[in-house]
Amino acid sequence: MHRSNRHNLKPSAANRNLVIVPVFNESGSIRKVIMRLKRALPTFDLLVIDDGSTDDTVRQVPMGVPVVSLPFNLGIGGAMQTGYRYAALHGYDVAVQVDGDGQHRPGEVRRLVERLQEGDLDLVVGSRFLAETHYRQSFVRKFGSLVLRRIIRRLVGMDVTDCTSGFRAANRKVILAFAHWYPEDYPEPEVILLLRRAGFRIGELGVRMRHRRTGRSSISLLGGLFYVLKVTVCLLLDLVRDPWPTGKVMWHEPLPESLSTDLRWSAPAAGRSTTAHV
Amino acid sequence: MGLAFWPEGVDWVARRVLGIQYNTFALICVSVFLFLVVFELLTIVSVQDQKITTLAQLVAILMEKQKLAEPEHRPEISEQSAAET
Repeated sequence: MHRSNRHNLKPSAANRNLVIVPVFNESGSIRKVIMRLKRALPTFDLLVIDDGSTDDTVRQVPMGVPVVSLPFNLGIGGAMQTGYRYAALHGYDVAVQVDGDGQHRPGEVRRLVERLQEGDLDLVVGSRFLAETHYRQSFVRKFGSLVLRRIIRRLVGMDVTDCTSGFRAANRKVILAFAHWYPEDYPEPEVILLLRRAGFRIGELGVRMRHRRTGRSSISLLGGLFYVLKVTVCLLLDLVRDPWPTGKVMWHEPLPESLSTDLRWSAPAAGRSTTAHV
Repeated sequence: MGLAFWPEGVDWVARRVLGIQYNTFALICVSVFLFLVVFELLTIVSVQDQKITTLAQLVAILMEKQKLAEPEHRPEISEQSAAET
């Protein structure tokens, strides 16, 4: 772990940090998660992305916390990209993904951001397995993680101990890249491979995580093998994909402070500039 | 259109060029045509899917902005206006 750039640490107050919490039917845990985050991170902004929940998840979010409510379920990729687009449009310097099921500890968010602010990384992934954290996984998940870890190491020569971790902090560069394009179905492993190929700097930080107590995991045990198969195919396809064109402006900067001004971004598929007037 | 001008074309290609039976070559042609049609349609669906996703994301962000602008969703404004009245 590099510590050489510690003297370049910017004061956290100067940076605008956003915690993105994607939720789908997490009514049992979201209130507690948000309250914990607010308590532990008073200087951070919070954003809940409701991915088309069919229960009363949105009503459980405490007043004053912005909720972006998607009209229908887009999956974790679409939900997270919404968060990154929000972060890009509102000029945030750091965006941290924290799951709404309570697995990610608020105290670890600050550590992720501090690691990111050292300046030598563009994306910091919170790893359950980098250090001894006593985190227990099912056999299928453990097997899947191992296979994906080896595939990523083989394809891009990078050893990521927890490539399926959704606990990650991204700097402004990565926020803009994700706002432009983000994988849809199971984005965590794909993002690592694609960012690495695009020349972004990725690192891991050992974190402690809780086991989920409520809600349902997006990856069921039965679907574990299918997940590994599907992600493997996606990773192979990603070797020929160019999602983040280098040297081009992906999202126009400087970005507006509020959405009352123009929203402009380059449409990823067609490459046309789109403008929305509010 | 090609077959309209040259109806024996399939037979000619099958026997003279590829050296296979007419039926087999016709089946291959139909299969390739159907494959291309499905591929084209999937491409269109994929592009539309991306556009719908982008649209849904923007709508959601704009809705959030509007909701925050409403006084009842902003306790500090509500309290201020209540104090003024």
